[in-house]
Amino acid sequence: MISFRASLVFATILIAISMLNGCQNAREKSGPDDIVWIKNSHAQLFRIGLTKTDSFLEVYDAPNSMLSIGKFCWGSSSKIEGYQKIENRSKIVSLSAIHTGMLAELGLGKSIVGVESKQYIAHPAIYTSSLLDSVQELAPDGPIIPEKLANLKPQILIGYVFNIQEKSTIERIAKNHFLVIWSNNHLEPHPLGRAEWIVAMGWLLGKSKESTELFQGISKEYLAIAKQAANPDQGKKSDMGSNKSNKNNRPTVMMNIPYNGQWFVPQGQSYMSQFILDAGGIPITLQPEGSGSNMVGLEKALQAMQLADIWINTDNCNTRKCLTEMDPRVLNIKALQGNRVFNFNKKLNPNGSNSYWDLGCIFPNLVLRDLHKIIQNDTQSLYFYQRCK
Amino acid sequence: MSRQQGFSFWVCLGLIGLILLDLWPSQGNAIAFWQSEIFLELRLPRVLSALIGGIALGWSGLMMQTLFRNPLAGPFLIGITPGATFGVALTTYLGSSLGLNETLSHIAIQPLAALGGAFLVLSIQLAIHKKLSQMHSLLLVGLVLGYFFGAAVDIITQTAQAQQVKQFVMWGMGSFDRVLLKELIPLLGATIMGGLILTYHRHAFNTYLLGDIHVESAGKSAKSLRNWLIVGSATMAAIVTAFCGPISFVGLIAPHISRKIQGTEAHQKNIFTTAMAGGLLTLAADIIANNTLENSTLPVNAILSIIGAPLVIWMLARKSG
Repeated sequence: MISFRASLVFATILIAISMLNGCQNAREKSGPDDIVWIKNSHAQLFRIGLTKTDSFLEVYDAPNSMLSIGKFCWGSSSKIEGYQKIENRSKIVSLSAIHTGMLAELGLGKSIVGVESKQYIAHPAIYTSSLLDSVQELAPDGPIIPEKLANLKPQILIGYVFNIQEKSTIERIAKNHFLVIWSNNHLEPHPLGRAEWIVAMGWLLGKSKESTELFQGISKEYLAIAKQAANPDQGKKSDMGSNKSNKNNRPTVMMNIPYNGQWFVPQGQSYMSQFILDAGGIPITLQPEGSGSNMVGLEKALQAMQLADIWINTDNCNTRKCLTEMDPRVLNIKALQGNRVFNFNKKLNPNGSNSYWDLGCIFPNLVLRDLHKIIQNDTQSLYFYQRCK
Repeated sequence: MSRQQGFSFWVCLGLIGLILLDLWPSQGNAIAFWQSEIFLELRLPRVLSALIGGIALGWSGLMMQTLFRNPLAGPFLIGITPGATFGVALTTYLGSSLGLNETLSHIAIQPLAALGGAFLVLSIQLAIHKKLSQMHSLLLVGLVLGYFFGAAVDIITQTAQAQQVKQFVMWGMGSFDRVLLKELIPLLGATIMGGLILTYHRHAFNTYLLGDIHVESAGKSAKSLRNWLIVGSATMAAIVTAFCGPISFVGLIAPHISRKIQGTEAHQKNIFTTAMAGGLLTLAADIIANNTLENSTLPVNAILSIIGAPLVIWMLARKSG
């Protein structure tokens, strides 16, 4: 005879399976029956839907996840079950530089009333304008200041979930006062997926046409560069010469720097690996699957990277001296010996903000163009990157 | 061969086995690997730092347990490691703010700051220990000091830049990978110094365990012995912390393993086996850290905590029983 405890465990498993199944269906079948979902080109963490009367935005917590972290609607219907209705959108708090950049790019910079910290804002439309003075800083030196956010009385807050306590604090303040849109667009594994979020922002804030056109232009250029990189003989003749170091004649590219003996090596399906593949290089990874990174000790990292042709994204190290001071054992890396080390610090502002982090996400075509040039050994007129001296 | 000698022999053999295992290449030809730069610049310093670090922490723990006449004293539990961590956090933050040279900061300033933090904690512990001499008060004060320095480190990291926080977080996980061949010199120097203090005063330390009156009646100064114990234990723990990050539990457990083998508290018997046990623990943790996952390296500190925490609970339960 089955014991009561065993029956309980069995029932719990059954409920969990049916709930998971329910969630799976939820991404496909949520919303009104006549809803038409627009197919994204690369983004996996949101979807936009339309009916004759309303528009819908659903946001998900991770790629391929069934867990929705926000369902919003706007239009003529007074209420739609399961969706939060967006009515006012003229006062926005943006807690990430990427979203601030996207708002600025859509000409909505004036709607921004609060940001996380001004030192992260690099978008020229805000950084170089008087807008920067009028915007409130809500978390200048650490966690968000709840009173400041409450006093600001925004209508919408956009941010990414970086701290579960802070998330709940914000949601507590927001309750019945303003809408919170959590956007984990930094988890999009494809650069165009991350950039496509400008379409979501555009739809949400009444700039659907402009945002779609903008993204289409970005996507078109990105894909054109990727196509050229994939078939270099069809385009302009490349000057890779002796730098062709593997059987596929594509240079190998390593990323990041060690921190106290530990190196974060991006995985094969990560954002940066995708950039390098599309730019015509071979990313050095330790794991072909996965969109995160592997934390490895120096020995494992250097074994994989010692013969790298190119080294990019050296973080706060802009000189070769800085790299060797950080750990002298990197001196043996081929890219360092061949002086092919590049960092994304060309558009660094005096306040320390770096356009790479916002414009680079919105315009991955510019990053890809830089990387393609670096791989082709044509390092003139790079936009974000420059050679480490 | 006596039972103790037999056990010591097996611990020695185990240590040699672990050294060889840690030096062995994960793939490919061993001879070619041992001639490669990867071996000379990365594997060898890593294995040597794990070995020396383990010995140093074992001896540091032995000296602290003698100093407090308390078997639960160890660099981590009594707050020395959090104190040293505070020193390192301060220099990580101030280093780049003051524009200090990275190499100089890494080799000299960080170890000195760690040493400062360690001495500060040890002085506070000693001052309190004069008033509260129960076994558990030592741990409670250590816990409180750990919280205090943890809070100070939190405040420092709150105001630090992202890069500094990243550096500090990675350091806090503990790793023998970051140690350079030249950094083995101060590490080895501190360990030799600690070993010499232990060997030279081994009989006096045995008397010290019996109480200050016995030390004075033997014609020695208890204060002087205490100073030697403070200098030796704090220096070894602080230098290991500065170069390898906070390495937990080795200092506490290694002397216990040794006493279990030797069946005595006599220092002359425990110096060698404590060193072997310390080396054995850190080398085992290093091997687990580097070989458990194919594409990742686990934090050494986490592995030692997983091994060490249940052992400490077991020890506490035995003592109270």
